[in-house]
Amino acid sequence: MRVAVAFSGGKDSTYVIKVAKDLGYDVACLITAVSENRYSYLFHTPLISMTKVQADAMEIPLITFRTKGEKESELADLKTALKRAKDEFGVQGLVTGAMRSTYQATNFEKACDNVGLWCFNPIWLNDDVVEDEMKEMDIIIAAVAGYPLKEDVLGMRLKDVSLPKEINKVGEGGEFETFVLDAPFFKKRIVIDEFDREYKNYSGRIIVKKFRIVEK
Amino acid sequence: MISIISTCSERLSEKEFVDPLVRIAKKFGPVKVTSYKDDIIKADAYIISGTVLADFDYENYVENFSDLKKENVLGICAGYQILMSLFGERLSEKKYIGVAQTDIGKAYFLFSKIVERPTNFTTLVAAEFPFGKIPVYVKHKSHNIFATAFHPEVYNVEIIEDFLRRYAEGRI
Repeated sequence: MRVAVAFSGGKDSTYVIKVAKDLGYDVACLITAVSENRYSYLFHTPLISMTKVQADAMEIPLITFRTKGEKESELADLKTALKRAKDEFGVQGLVTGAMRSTYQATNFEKACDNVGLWCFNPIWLNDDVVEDEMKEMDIIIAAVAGYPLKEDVLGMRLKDVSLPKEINKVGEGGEFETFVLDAPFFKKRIVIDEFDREYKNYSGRIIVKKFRIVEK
Repeated sequence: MISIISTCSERLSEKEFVDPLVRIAKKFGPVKVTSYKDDIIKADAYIISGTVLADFDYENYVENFSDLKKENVLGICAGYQILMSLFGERLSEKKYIGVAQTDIGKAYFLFSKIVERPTNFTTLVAAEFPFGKIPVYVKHKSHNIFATAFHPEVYNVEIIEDFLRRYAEGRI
């Protein structure tokens, strides 16, 4: 089956590409929402502009769409993007990295149902997936949003960060967001040479200043 | 032995609908997963999984489940529909995607068909939908056959755990 993947650039939506490919699915395109609301519950936003770089490194086409990130408009905007994936790439299903959020899962399910696509959430309820993700992929912390994560974890490798026990290890509560630099199915890998940290009151993100795509 | 019967025609959906059940069931005994296309294996308790909203292939194999009519069974979503069909209940075309309030708190639903007035089953839990109050967790009046129209693995794990504790724990 040809599928699209709802892609944010983070560990979960990158890992499900691997899951789908390993099971023999043809990942025909990625779909990324560029949300104007940095607190969107549906679409994760840090380093979203870098998803094009990741898609190039994977050599998978990318569809991006803009959304205000409001509850009412997010779903309509997602449906439009899914229709495009169906028409342009002939996909029959959407794969998402939804893991625990029934808000996220419900919206993806409704959008797929509306446009006639199968909806797959292969890491749903799988809290242990982060162990495999860290084993398989090169992941950095791209954003933090909650006590007690400090500024110095921004840009660090996820596997090198000792997460405090009050922080959910998968970041499912939005405590931190991630960015994937490399994975087994990437044709090339991404190197970030220079970045700034924007941080205040336990909330922050990295801003990439210089990066390269290099051969593996 | 606990038998988990997948109703998924796609491997990607088994990751979502079967694997979470296996993780729960393993705490209560050995688990064997089979497909809706396979013959029923001998087990102490059976869980029939749900599947993707767009997946209806299992409807062509309802007769495969006839041997379960007197066994200890929990059917979830698609599994619920199979059990309802087996016992001749009338499924209505009603769709609901998302969280709804039930008598026991919130539950996560993903269905396109439901039995509004079961005749062979007792209502254990009902839920309020835009189209009315409907039984969503039922038990057969004579057999240890339970069915949920929602996905208990999301918010109501204790339903699965209670079922397995009663019919599978301590057995090999």
